[in-house]
Amino acid sequence: METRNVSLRDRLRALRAGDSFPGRPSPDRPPGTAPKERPAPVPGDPERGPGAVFPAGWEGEGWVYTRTLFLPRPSLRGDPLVFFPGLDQAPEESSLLFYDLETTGLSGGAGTTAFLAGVGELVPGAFKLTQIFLADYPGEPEFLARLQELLPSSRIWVSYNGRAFDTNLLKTRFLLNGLPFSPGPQLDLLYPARRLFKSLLPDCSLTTLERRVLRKPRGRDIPGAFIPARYFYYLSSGRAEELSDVFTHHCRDILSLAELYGHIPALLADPSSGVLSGEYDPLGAAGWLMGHRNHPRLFALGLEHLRQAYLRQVPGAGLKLARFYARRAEGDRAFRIWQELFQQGRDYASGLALAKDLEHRQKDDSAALGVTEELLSLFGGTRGLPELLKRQARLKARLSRPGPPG
Amino acid sequence: MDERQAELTSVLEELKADPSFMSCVTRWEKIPPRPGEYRDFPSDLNPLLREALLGRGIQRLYSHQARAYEAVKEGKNLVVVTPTASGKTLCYNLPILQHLLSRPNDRALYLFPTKALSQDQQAELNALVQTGLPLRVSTYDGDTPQSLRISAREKGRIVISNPDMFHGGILPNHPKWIKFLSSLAFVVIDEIHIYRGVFGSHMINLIRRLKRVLSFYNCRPVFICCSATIGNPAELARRILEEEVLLIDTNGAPAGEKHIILYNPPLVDQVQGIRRGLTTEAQRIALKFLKRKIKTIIFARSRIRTELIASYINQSLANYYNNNRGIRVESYRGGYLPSERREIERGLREGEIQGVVSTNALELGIDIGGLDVSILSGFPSSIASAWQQAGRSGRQAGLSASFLIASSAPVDQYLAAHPDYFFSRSPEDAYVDPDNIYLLMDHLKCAVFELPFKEGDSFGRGSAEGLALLEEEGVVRRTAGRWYWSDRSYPAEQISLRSLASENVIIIDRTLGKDEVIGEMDKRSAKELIFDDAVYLHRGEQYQVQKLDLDSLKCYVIRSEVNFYTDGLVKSDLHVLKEDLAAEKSGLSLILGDVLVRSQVTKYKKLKFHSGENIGYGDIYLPEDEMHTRGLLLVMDPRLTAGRIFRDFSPPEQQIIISRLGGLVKTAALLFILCDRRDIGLSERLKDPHTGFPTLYFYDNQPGGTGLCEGLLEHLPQALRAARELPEGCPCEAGCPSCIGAPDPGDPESNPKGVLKRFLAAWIGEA
Repeated sequence: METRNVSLRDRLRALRAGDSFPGRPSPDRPPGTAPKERPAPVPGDPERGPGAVFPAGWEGEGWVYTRTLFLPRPSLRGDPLVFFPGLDQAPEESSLLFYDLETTGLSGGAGTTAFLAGVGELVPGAFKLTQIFLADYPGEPEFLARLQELLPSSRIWVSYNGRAFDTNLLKTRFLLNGLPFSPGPQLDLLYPARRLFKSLLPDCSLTTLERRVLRKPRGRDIPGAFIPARYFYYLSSGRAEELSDVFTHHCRDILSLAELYGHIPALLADPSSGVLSGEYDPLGAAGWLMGHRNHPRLFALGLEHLRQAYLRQVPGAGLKLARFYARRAEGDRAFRIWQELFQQGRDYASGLALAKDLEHRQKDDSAALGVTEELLSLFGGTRGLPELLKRQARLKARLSRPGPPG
Repeated sequence: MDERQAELTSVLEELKADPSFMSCVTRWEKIPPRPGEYRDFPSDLNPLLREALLGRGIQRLYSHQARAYEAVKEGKNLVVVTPTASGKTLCYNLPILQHLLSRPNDRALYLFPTKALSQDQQAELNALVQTGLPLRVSTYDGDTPQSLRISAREKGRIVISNPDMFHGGILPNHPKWIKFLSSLAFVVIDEIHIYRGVFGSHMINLIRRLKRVLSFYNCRPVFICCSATIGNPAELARRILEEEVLLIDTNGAPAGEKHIILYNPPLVDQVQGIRRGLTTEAQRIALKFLKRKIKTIIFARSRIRTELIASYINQSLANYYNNNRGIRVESYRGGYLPSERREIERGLREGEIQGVVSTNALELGIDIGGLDVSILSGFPSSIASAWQQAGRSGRQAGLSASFLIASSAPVDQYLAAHPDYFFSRSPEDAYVDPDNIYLLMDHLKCAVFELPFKEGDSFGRGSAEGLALLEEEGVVRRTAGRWYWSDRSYPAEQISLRSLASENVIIIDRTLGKDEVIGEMDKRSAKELIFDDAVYLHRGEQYQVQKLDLDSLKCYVIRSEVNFYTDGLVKSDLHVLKEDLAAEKSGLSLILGDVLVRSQVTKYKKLKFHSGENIGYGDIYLPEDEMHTRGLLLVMDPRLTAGRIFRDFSPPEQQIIISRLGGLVKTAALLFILCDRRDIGLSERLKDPHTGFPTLYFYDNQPGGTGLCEGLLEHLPQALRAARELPEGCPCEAGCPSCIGAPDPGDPESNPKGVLKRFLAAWIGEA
């Protein structure tokens, strides 16, 4: 039955007219008047084309603009191999590309677009940074094609959270625009950064790392959360100068990324001073470095972090080190650590490890019983009561049995 | 089984021989057994699939399964309508598995309205597939762990999900699903009758979004829908899919003999039309069967009733010495943990549980095995669901019985008095509104987010105006002939498919310094029921409202023991915003269009318990509500029959007619339109400023409308005929809550029923 011979426009109008129903003045316009004409945005205007008010320093026409900056070259210190647990040798500096995107939202999904991309590389005497800007949506295929040219899959893509976010977003954008996408091998600094700094910092954002790890105050900066709104404002107003904060923010992000790449290996080079400095979490560093299983030198560097941390009495270091020795079948070393820890701290974990080691490895039931009973008196009723009682009963039973004949 | 059947036969015979029971039976219908109609397996059936079916004891198909198989092979969209336990799922599983086996890249999507049904289907498919079909079946819903999600979208040949997940998780991330979506050959929408009203109108838009995305991947799947028996399954499917659909509604499954007994509890008070309570009656009848170990399901209309009936039954059975004779009766309703529900379902299937008392939660196709007797305590909200619930008892061979116990509600009394109506007419029609402007706009946002719009792309009845509005709102950017999503938000996140306004008020008990949440209520109802000082009844306890705080959506109550209850008086004010259609029909002039409803609860009545005597008024101070929706005006234009007859009644009689006719028509309309009573709003005017005549306003109680007014317009002649019969069939004298409402206590001499009957006889008799 056709009962709706009314256009959607009429219904929408009626719906909105409800705001200005008799006796209820509309807040923004008198009843019956048409909505205000909005100024036609300049970029994206199909007749005039975009870019009429685009700021200097950028080149291009149509929908896509680029600029290239030569920034101070970050110093690379230490062995960057620490970033590459799978490789035998750190890649050449010249094969690295540092990249980052600014997007219209953080939630992902098909409706989130990248509008600004930057790719930095280490060239003799400078850090060469190229930014590509999408002046309006229709330019996206060109934007992406330019980006892929700058980011060939033959180079190593260095990013901060690029593995989970930027690359996935690009994959979607290329797909939606019917373009092939070939990502290069990824180095995402977020993963080592989390190991090293998570326990020391309120969060692991690049901005926080920049301030607290690189010790570079940013001064005036636009918070990342405001960036999409700034872009939308530019799109509707055509005021590209509103974006200069965003462009600067984005440059700094990529530069900091490269600096972080140079900074972390240096930080890890000397465990004894590193542990003392408190600039990173030595246990996280040990865990990360000891992940280089095929690389004896870096593995040893990780172990040295653990050892130094133990010597400096970093909480948890002793237990980790002892567990490492125990797994390596260096039981006596492990035992000495547990013994020392328990003597100093009377803590449950090392006490229990001690009791287990005495009972099972050293077969010294009476010493094991002694530790178990001490634990019972220290923690009886608060921790591990059933387990301790079981252990106590087992040890007692064995001790009261006559020894083996002969 | 044989023993239980013999017991069932003997209980039924005992009941038939019991004159006091039989005096309440308004119809005892015996439906003879029906043989099955079988077909051999199709000759092209994949040998692996044939083995799998044989392995599960299936040696041939029912005729409707074979028809579905052929139709799907021809690439037709289908809607299959068959009752419970008729092998419905094979109607889609068979052709889909056949296709997927020969085309190793193709995929299928199954959508179920609840997670419980998804799990059931996953189990059923697993049983088939695990016999050696090289296909992976994956469930993808809110409960799927992150670790399994990737494998579901990469490797799942059949993905089982629900509309909510599809809307919020899959469509907005469609590029991640490219492998799946670009080879999607089938979409199954089971229990399509659930998608009516708001949910259905959402579904229409969801399918529009799905098709847009699929056309991007150059993919056009076949849709297979299944529905319970409703009046218009093909029409509903066509509206939801916006495509042609082939209807298969001849059931080839055999059925055993079935007795359907309509039971109207005895009158306790003839004048006021009060009957014996539903709960007691349901319990009494159920015990007759349960005590003989006959498997019985009892449907109750509310969660509280469910608990009450189950506890009464268990009390009656309680016996420490014989462990309740080994009879276990459980209650089942929403609000139980999924694991508790699965446990009860399994117990029923495997025979450890003999009886279950359930809300309509067990009405859907969850597998609980065959039951012998079903007892409906009160007619469910629709005839369609009455048949669904009655269908829960019954087997392919052997006897079963269903008891439908009428409550004192007008619809129940009408059906009890007119059993032919129940047996002969088809169930209600389901309505959806493809043009609900609010839903359209919401989904349009999601659609732009998913893919930019090109000039000329359609979305429902047109997208250009809607996009222009979104552009003005600033979330969409139009440039170079396209519209792009231009906002940082994720629009699907803000839209719930299950409702339009999802704000609920939490009710907190503060008696003696407690701070305990005892319930929730939607904001609109809260204004009418739990205003300051209202008396609120909850699970048999009485509370008084201290404060309704609409800003924080909290209502504080304390236990009370006053001798009255309260009833909020809603004052509503209607304006016609736009007339879409004006017609003359059934002696009335009718107007269909957009209306603005402003409602405010300003006063409440204090009514004494039991007598209902009005003992005073109180004021309510709450902000007014405003809603744009669809309305249907019934205008008594004196140039047409109804108005002419109306004019000849005296003014006091006119007052009676106008104040009672609307409710009566609404009651009657519920026999034809699948919805709840409160989905349709009503306002009566003796002299309406818009039309200038006495007018009844019916409006859709959901913002923007869900097609109910259009449905009412379509069924008006039938509804008016039923409205005329309703008071005729009621035994009361001057009107009672079961027909047109009790006479005005302030004017006990009046006979509203007599007046209304005269009016209706003159009008409908003549129309």
